[in-house]
Amino acid sequence: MTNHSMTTRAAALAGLCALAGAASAQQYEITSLGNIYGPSAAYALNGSGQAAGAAIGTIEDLSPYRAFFWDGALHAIDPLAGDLDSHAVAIDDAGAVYGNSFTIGRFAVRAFMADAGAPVLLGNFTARGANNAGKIVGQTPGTDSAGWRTSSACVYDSGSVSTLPGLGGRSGLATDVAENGDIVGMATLPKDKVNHAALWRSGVAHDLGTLGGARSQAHAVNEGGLVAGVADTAAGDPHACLFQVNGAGDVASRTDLGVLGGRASYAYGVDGSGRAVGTSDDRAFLWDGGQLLDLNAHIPAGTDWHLQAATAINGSGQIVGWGRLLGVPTAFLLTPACVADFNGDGSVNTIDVLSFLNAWAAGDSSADINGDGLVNTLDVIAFLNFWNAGC
Amino acid sequence: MRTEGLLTGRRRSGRKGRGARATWLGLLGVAGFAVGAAGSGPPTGPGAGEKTVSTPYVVLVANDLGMHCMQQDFSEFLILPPFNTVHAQVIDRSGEHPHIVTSGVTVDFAIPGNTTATDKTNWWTYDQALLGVDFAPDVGLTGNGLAGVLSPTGRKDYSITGVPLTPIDDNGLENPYPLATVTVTRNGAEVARTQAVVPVSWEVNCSLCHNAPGISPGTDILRAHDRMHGTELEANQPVFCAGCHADPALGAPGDPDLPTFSAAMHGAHADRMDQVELENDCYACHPGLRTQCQRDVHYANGIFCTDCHGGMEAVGDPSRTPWADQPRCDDCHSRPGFEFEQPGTLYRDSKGHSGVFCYACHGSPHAITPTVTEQDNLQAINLQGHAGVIDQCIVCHSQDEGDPFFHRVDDD
Repeated sequence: MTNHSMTTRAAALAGLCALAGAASAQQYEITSLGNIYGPSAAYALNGSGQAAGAAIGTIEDLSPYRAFFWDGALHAIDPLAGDLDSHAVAIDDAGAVYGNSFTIGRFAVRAFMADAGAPVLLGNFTARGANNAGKIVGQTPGTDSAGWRTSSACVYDSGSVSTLPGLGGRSGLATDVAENGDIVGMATLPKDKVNHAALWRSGVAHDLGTLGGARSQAHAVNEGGLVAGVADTAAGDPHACLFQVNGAGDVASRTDLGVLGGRASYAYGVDGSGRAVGTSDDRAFLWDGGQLLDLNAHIPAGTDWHLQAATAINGSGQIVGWGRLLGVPTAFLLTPACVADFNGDGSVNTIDVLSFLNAWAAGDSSADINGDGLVNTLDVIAFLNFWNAGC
Repeated sequence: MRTEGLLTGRRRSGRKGRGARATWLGLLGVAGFAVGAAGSGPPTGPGAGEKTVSTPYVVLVANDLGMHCMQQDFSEFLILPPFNTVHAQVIDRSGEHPHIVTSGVTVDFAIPGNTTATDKTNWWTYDQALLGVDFAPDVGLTGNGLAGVLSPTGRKDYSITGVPLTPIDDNGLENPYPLATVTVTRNGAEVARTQAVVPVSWEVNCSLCHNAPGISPGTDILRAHDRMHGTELEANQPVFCAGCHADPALGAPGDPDLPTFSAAMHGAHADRMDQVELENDCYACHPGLRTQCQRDVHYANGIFCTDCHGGMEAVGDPSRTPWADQPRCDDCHSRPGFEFEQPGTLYRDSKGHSGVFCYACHGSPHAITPTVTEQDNLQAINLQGHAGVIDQCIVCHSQDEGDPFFHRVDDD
């Protein structure tokens, strides 16, 4: 078989698949962010592909939690003096990591910022999200008149913490803040039995409602007022939901993202173009173009990964989260793959087609382009679609 | 990076020989606190505390076990699903003499900081394969959710069972000691409120030993079982362990020809614990190095798991009924004129003082107050101004009774 004949065959197949109109979803390269001793999970990602999260420390240190910063290697961040555990929740585009310092068995949680050094105390609140302007949102503790514990959503800005109003109950939590200052999260209704997703704009709380059920939560917001979260359906099942907020801060629409299986799904992150990530039925998902995609079907076949949850997505389409790697929960980074560059030489050309067809003819799992566990004609169509599209 | 004082004493059960005794200062600090609270005799007037209950009712809440263990991952096998139980005793203190309330009130329950579960564990993905039941999201084995109403038990208290709580709060932080808020309403008006710990942990360290390269710890466990007992578990995941090994915690009868799950686990591992080299071997499997579920006044006074439960051989004794054959307070405690548990009844089910459950004043098993955890002390501090046993008469009585309180099961 000559290169010429292969090229001809490829061209013919390209024409075939174009006629068939077959579509192929984005594939990803997967990177393990590593572990310290036990499980790890990534919760945040910045525009440069740096990540932050938490990992279980060494058994010699009694298995504490350790916040981490990842920039190609995992760097543990110690808790503040006096605490045993640390946990990172956000990272800005400059690489500053925001997290919490705490000790299991104590009430106090202290927010910190770590920027290429030891963590610095921000205040006595729980950090949950941050933007590039230095606003940090989360939860601050309180007590009612009888001494029972309460909590409020809060925002840290320029060195001071301000509480945000609730929705009638005694508990609130802010989870994310957009660059334009929109804050989202959740707050309990009167009697404190259920949360509703909330958006705070100019200090005013807006109830984002549900999909017909009792409960909802908001976990992320983009600059366009698109809020990712979860809301109960009328049947009582929690479904990942995108709430579109209008200029007045009220909900213009709610989109039920459905489920991959089972009865529940949760959206944790959303990018500027409206792609959302989350988890459903113990599988990480990407919502893109109106489709809920199981990310396990979009990583190279034959890995030992089972991706369980995706927590954040950046503008480059990179995704972080956690999954089981040989049974151990492990933080991952997904980077959109250039499938067309099959031989990985940095350029897309006919050599890639030849390389693919050789792998395909050999039945190699690398030729399972659509990730369905089979190497067949559909993979040829899928590959040629990628090849035609280029990278 | 070691803390000082109270919590230093908690994190003492790491590798053997690694600074364990360096924590004695912290431990002594806890012990001194405990003696100060409980050893000087029960104060009887409000002067001993700084708070008095102002509501017409008081509600005293505890957990039945002091720790509910569960797994995070059920893809390979099931030992314990999410399942928590809360008890509440409601006392009307508005009249001349208090009385225990068993009707006419609503006892609501919620955990404001931990409102979802299905996103924190894969139990709801594997429940059908393991138990043949597809539970609704965030709904536990008994049909209860993460918030609800406690029901009268018919034994002078209220309870809610099977709450599918996980140890990850809504902030994503691990918290084995989340606070439940329990509110009592009568005719629509709140008459009492409290907050108490609903303990839960999935800190299990199988991988300390089960860490064969290239396979998961769970597969390593199932493969070892197959090799040693001729089973085919690895090929039949997920496996319901109590399907063969009886487990009273789950009401699973198992195979009568096989040892109970407790006997099998403790018996099989008893002579293998040297390889993990922990100060407290129990924390290899029971939570745990971080969680330290034994956190009560006994722990603060240097009494650890095996001092009450015995070693693994004793716990794994095939003649023992797991979860029922438990240590008794009067195995150690004796005081002239005092009685402890009711005969033939465990601490968690025993009553005295006109039907008041032991837990109402003393707290949950493994969290007998005062505890070294702040969360478990909150209820007592808020009701009477100090941690420790509820020893202020006016918590339940509208006025100081003045009479000495003899600690007897039939005491009025």
